[in-house]
Amino acid sequence: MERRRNLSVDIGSQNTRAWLFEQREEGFALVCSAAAETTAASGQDLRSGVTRALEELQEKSGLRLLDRQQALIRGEEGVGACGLSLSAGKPIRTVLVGVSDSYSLAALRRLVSLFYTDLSLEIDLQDDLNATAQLEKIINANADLFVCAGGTNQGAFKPVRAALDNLRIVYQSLPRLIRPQIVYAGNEALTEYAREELDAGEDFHPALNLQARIDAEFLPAGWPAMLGAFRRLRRQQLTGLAELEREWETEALPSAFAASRIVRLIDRMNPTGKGAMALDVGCNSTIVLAARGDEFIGAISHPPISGLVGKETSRYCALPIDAQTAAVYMLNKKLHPAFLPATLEDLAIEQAWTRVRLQYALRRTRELFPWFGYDPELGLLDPYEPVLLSGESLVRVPSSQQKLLMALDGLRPHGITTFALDNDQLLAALGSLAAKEPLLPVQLIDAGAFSNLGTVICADAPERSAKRVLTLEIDRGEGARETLDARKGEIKRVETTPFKPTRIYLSPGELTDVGMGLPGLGGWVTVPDSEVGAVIDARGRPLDLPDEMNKRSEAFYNWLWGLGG
Amino acid sequence: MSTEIIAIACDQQILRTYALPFAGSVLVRTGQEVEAGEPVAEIRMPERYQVFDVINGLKVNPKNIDRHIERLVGEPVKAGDVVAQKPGLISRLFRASQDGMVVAIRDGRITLALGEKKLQVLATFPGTVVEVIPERGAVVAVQGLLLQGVWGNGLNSSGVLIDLNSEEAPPEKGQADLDLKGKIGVLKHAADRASFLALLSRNPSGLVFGSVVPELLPELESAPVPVMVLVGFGDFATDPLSAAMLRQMEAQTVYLNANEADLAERSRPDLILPGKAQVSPGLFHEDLQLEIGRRVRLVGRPYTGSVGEIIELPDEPEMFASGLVMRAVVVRREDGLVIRVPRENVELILE
Repeated sequence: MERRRNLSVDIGSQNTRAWLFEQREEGFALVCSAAAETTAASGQDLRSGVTRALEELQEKSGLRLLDRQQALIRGEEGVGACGLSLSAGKPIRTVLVGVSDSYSLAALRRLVSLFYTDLSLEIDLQDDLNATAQLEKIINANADLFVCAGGTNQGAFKPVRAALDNLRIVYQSLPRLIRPQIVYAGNEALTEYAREELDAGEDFHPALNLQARIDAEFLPAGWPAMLGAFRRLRRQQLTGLAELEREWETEALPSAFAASRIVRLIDRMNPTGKGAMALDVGCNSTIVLAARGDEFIGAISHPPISGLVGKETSRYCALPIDAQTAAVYMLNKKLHPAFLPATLEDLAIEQAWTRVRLQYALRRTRELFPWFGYDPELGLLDPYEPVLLSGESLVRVPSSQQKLLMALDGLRPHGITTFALDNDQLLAALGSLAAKEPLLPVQLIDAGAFSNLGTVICADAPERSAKRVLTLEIDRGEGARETLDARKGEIKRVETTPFKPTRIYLSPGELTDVGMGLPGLGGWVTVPDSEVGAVIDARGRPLDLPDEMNKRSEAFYNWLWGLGG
Repeated sequence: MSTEIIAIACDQQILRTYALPFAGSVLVRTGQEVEAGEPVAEIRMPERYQVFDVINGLKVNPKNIDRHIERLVGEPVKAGDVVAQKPGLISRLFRASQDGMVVAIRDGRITLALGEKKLQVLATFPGTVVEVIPERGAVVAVQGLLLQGVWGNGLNSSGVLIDLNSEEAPPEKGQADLDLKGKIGVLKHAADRASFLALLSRNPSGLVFGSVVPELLPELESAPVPVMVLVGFGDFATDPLSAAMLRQMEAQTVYLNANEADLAERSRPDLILPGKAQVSPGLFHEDLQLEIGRRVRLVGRPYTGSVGEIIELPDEPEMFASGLVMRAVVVRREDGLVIRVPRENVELILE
């Protein structure tokens, strides 16, 4: 059988990662992955970093991927399809222009949130801003990208026309070396007018109306135009990108967008219909992606470092560490993003900060998507299964128990869900290959590319601490059934049986909600084998953390102990 | 894995690119000597824009709008020129308030670009132009002492370097040596807001700290003078190499470029003391990497700011106290202590 090989490369701000996939009898499989330092600074060619990553990939796989000129060998002898994703590069300075804050501007914020943008200005055309002031503001924003929307199809267009006039002046008058890109996703009756008026050639990216009707919003209508603008900007900003795309016959995708394809795919593959979620916590940003049917939510956030964040981080530390020490760690980590915790104290701060970054990212996602079921106090209210954890801060952790506890504290889910782990950081890699080799991500997911971290049963009851809230009956299919009590405030673990599912009967207390529809309602749950096992989180919501630092530390120790860590 | 590189170098060729974000005019030529503050490239741009609504402003019938507009797109205007008018018993006029140009006439609105402003990029240290970037700027080089830091507030200046560590207590107001005008002050540590503000009140040209407490960050960011931090946030001793270089620079005119660190761009804030040696254009920095014999500065408690020499680079990853398994670098500190740290937790020193 011919062994077709596919390559995926993700160029991040620090590291360029490469993955090699191969078609085997049982389907596509990951051969190996490699990483090298990204070369995307001024005067560098990002192909150097890519070549170094491929050289390492060659060495690890024992396969010849590069020819004597260091070009990728293609075809039967080499690599078939190539995927390319990109998060390197400075944030894209973006100006949004919409007819109202709550309507079109809110939709535009959601649209651009996956494309590594930095909002430098928002123009609300209902504001009392005169045309001169609007023009001055747009010029001073010195933006790379303008995204304009507003008006339902065939609706009012006068203010949008006036704004387009100003955008034309900015586009045509300023001799910017990197040409700004313009995305238009408003009233479709104005699209051709906008194209002619702006006279921006390929720098103009028309989209279908995000809000063709007053009661409907369809963000995917704007994605092709945003992708076009993203690529044209990055090709101007990053030396070697255009050549790489040409040589590999591919087009770069924003890494977060590529990852979102896989989240949407998992949702479609998932028979429960609960929706799928992925969380990626890296040193520079946190990405939240969630899909359920036609509904998609995605946002990149950059949590600030402040006194408040220092206090919150100190509160979530598994060791007694004050806010000042936490702030020192965070600020120095920002100066040295590659830094890794070598001591227990640093590890405790890093993990606490990951919890805080998750909470911040979920809060920020809720601000962008008001229908996203997250409450800062109560946690994640919407059910998602699986919840996939990715990114250095969630993956490069000493034990599975620590990973799961961080995720539980960050999300504070309700009901029953499964946590999975993207150990090989495959999300973007699979996403950028999905369009060329649709079977590849499906087969890899089916083959267990994402490991099962654990099934979590959250038992929420308005009871006092240490009171029994849930009784479990565990059926392993052999021998007598075991029973286990879970008391308010504790975490318990049920070991799963290798290669076969474990059945657990949940018998909640009268007031205990385990996500079966009503408090007090229980039933059988079938739990597959996983790294940590089945976890009962009976701490309730909101999470009750002791005020005193040493007691808090003891609580975290007990919870980790409960998980078997 | 990427290793951070920090320059604490005595005889370093320092190259810096000064470039406009727009296509403009380059004001220097290759081989030319430039002074700090000298413009390298510039572009002239309108000072401001004005949009005038002719229909509502002059109360004219939109159908007859063309009759009332006196200028064409692209036409220059002088201050006082009539751009649009409605004649009659009580005539209404729209005049240009400054010299400029008509940039657009659309839907009864006239847009004027008025006045002129220059956008310039200035050299931040004296040196020789070694490369001209057409329409954008130039690369300036100098041979000299280079001391990089880890944090800067985005400003730059020059002045005579003065060590403030020897001051037992801050001078009282009215004292002769209170004024730090024209001087760049160096202090090992900034411990509180009050002492930092007291320093600022002495009008220094710039400030260099070994370390600062995190609470001071908002003040540092908004300080009106350049501020650079050498080692990091917290209470850390300045590493001996940086301290020695500061002593070498003392009482001489130095150039403080406290630009914000950008690791993706491999740029850091720095302090430069230009030397007398000629620059040798065409020389490139060697590709530094972790190897035995190289000196490194350690990052992360309890060793932050320590300097040592690499004595071993084990191939196999090992488990650290945190439980993480990482590739290590073994470093012998100047006091003889041998330390194993993750490779990610060192800065390679360019000497």
